[in-house]
Amino acid sequence: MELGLLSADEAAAYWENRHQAEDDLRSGGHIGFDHVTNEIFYASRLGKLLEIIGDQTSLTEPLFVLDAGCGKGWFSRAVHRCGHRVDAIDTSESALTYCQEMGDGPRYLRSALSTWSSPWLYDVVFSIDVLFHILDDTEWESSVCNLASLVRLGGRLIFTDWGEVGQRAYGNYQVLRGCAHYLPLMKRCGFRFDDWQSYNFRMNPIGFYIFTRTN
Amino acid sequence: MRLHELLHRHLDGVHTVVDMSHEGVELQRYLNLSEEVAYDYQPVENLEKLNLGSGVVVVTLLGPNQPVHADVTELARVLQRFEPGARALLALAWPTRELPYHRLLSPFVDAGCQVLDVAPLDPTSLQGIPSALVIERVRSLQPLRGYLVSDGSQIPTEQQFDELRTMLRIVDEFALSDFAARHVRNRLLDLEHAESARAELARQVAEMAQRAEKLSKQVTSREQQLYDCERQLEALESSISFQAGNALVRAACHPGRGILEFPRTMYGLWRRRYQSQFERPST
Repeated sequence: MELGLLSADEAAAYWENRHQAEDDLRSGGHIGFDHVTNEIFYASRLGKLLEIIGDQTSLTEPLFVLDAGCGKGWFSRAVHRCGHRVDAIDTSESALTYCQEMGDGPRYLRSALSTWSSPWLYDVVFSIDVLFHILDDTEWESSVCNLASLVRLGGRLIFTDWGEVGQRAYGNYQVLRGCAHYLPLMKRCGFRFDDWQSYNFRMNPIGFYIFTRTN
Repeated sequence: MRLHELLHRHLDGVHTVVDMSHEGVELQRYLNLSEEVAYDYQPVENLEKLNLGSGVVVVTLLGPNQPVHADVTELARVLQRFEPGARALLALAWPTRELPYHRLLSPFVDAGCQVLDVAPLDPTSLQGIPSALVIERVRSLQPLRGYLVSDGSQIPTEQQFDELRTMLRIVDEFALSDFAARHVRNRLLDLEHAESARAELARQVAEMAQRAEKLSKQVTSREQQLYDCERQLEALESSISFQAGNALVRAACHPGRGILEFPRTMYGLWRRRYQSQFERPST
């Protein structure tokens, strides 16, 4: 029997439970891997993310970065350690409580991707392994557009999803969307498509979509 | 970012770097030029003889301390000689907080120059020069580069560059971010004001604590003096001379009872003194 996709409330409850039940890596990482494999998975993605963000930093005139869907904040803290100012948002209260306890620099705030608002624009907005967990297409589009609106001219928007053209649902809590979804939408939002870079991690089909705001 | 990293992002099509920094400023070793790019030192007095067109990058150090740093007036003269395509790498000696960028804007606009890049410089590689920027004399708006973007591929190609849309974005983003920033600036000023008031309060508290400590020392000293005086008074009052004199005064003031007590008191004193002569020192 084919399972239907979770509703928004069911998906929120799923993530709340998962953040409470699993450790800091498996809760937001790959549930099919053990802790140590997730350790490699996180480090590998961080390395790629930092290559995309760039190798320049300044403690006094930093990059302003948004981590959209930060989960337990692993990437937020790592990017903050590189000298960037990080705002990190998520809807899971237990994940944010964990983040607050960890502290270590980023500003953690509770918000959905589609509703976050900021008085300033960001140099970099990234969202790692979050968008394919937004199951409703309307909510997905408004999340993407809202995150795009937060990027300043010349700034970068970094999403992760698969590199195929079309769309595919995995289980009842993942909908992968491909370049046919992202590229036209981002062009309308004033972005240039720079690249899609695969995770190259085991058989994971996901990779980084990289866009730059040009107008 | 280091100075040569910033420069090398803008060396496409460049054959000569003209160093117009003042005497004593040695920027050459921070430029890391390859053999393909010539280095040419030229004092500003030679400005009229120079051909500053496409393929040339002028390098100079601007700042508040003349004559070491070039000033904005001198920069404006240099920029007026720029032909389209000429670029300048301006090392800025002002602390970023105090950067008088408002004075740079008009010379840039007057000379048709666009800022291509502005970046903080790594303090560990070049002290006293916190930032630098690159400008180019342009005929039309050039694609913009994101802040601290290191990858050259991030610059849009001509096909991808829609000048009107970019211009609209710049103007609209400026207008709205400027508007939204007012609240943030206002809050920052409030916080700075509160911070300076708190610092003043802390200074006063420290001063009072210092005074309190001084007064406390004075009180301790006075207490010691008082204690010494009390001990001296006690010794005086218990001396035989004082008690004999006291008995004599009492006898003089109260002849009836005083005269009767006087011999007894004197005997008591004599006895005490006599006994004390034979007392062994305690061990």
